Amino acid sequence: MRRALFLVLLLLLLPMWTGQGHGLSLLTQMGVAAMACLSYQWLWGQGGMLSFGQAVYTGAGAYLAVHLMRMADAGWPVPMVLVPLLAGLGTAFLAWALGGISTRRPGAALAMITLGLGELAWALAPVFPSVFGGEGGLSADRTAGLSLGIWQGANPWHLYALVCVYLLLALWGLGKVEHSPLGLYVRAVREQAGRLAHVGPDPHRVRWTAFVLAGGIAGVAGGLSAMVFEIVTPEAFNPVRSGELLLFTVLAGSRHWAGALLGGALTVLAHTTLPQWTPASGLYLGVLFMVLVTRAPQGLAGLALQWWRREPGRSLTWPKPVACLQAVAALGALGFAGGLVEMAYQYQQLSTAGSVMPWLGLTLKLDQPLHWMGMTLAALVWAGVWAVSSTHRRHATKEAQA
Amino acid sequence: MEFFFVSVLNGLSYGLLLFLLSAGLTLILGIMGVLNFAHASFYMLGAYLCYALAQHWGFSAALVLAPLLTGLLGAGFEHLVMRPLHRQGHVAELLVTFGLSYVVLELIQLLWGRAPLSFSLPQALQGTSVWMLDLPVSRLFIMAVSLCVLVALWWLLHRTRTGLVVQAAITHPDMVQALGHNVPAVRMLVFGVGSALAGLAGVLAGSTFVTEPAMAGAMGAVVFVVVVVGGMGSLLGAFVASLLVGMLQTLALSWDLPLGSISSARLAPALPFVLMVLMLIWRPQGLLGKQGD
Repeated sequence: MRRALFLVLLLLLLPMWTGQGHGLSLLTQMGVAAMACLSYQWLWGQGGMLSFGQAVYTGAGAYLAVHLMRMADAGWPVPMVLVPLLAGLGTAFLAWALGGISTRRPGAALAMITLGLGELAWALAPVFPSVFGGEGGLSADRTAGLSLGIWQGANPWHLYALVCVYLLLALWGLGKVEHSPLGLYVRAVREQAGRLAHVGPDPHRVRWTAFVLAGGIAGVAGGLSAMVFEIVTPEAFNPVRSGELLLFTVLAGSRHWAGALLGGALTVLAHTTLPQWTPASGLYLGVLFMVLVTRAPQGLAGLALQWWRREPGRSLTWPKPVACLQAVAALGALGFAGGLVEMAYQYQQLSTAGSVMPWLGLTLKLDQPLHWMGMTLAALVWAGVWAVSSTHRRHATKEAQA
Repeated sequence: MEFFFVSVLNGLSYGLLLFLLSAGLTLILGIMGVLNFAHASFYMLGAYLCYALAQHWGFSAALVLAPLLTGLLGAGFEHLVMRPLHRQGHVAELLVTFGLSYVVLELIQLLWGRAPLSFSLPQALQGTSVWMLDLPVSRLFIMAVSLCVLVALWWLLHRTRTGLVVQAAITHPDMVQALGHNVPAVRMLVFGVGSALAGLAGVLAGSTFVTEPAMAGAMGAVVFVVVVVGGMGSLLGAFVASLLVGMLQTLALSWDLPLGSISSARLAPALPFVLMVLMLIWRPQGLLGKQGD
């Protein structure tokens, strides 16, 4: 109940902060992306299935929705607010058809098969222009169709509200399913498939059912994206999208619903705002992903939650000087290493971007080798300080434990 | 008849190239139980390193040095990143290789830009006709190099003590460790050799076809198909599947059969994946894979 109130409040307050226009449009896109992340979260966080082809289902949902919208444009009585739901149902059927071969074996086999199916969809979509609209894709108008009372497609607030309602319904529904017998089975298959097989249900069937549910939610996300953008191209099946879905869901945290919201927000930011700040955003995200996967598999949301729920006794002590030094050294090393990366990116476009780069108060000249060497040296020194201080801390903790 | 013969030879050279890649992937999958998503990144890295080295020391030196350097990078990655992760299970390892594929792609775009590189073979390998056939010399070069390397690999695996230990470590790692062999070092060796093979394939493909940041994505998925179709962890299966996929794609492109309203050339990129789906329905364990794996 508290969580539902918090969520509704968040979804109501955020657009007041951004206001109508670009901010609201970004928020709407984030909601759609969060829906896709939610589907992946169910598949991976609960079911332990690492799919590399989830774009098949978001893409299929988008195309189903765009075809429904075109029917509405042509005068059929299609209620526009139900288009994402219908797209989700259709996509769930597709996930049922493809899920049989996808989920027969878990782990590496599932990863490769879903990847192959994703590539197949990506390769086949341009071959059938009558269904997928060829290179240019298909466009439709969301203002047509039955309005079912007050909902109007032309109003961006109504669109945002629709996305929010679908998102809340999906969160509520998945929460229910996670605590149902199916949710228990799905987690049991993830942890101990062999033992569950002896107790009763066939692990393949459980995985298959979970896969269909994930496909359905992905289809709703695709349908919502078709309504938001009013155009769908075969680019919707690009395997890069499947990879991004995995990347951002795991990065943001796959066990807690807040991770899906954060993942959705990050997906949209990575395509809109982050590249404006730095050309190296993809590199930073990739490195962050690798660090999180090795050091903190619970993801950003999981880390935040750990910090939030930390034991009260431990939180009140002042950090020790060595810990402070470690943190400062880490920041210093990251700052100088990041500066080096930025220098390298600007060096690529020396003729257009110029040879002078401001970085954290310094003025760096790209044509002087001394500046490159200085940055490298500074990064190395800070990294060395960090390494020494963290070894010192590790020894201190060990001694304290002994 | 001659056209058919040339197409088959083209398919063979592409298939052998695929096997260079899938051999490393299969060995790594066998010994580490890990699907290496960065395998195609090492392939791309090989091509770019060859480009960089060839500018200073010429093509023949780069042909040897680039795969060696790629292999060293692969072994270093295994030692520094994968080994500490081994206790956490395969998923963390798989995800970290997936992350690496992003980072390598970004780094390559940072160092060499996003546009395809103008990078071609030396004059001696650029002719088009061999023995009155219309077959490029470069294809013959690919076939010769891959065959040499594959025979060497077979000899290494089946006729040397190291190969014996590697094969034993694939099936019984704990027993091999108990007998006093250094299994983590074997893992590093296999990862390094696998990456070097991928790098060599990258050198061959990059110099013959095109060197661009998209080459890893294009090849990576096809190599996974080869591994699924051949049967996961089976080297011989990977060999058969590589040739099959190579032939299928090349013949569909060169013959251009009309299939209803669509020509087979348009379907060529999709064919490996169609083959994979059919194989999964007909024989889920792959051509030479073991049942219930």
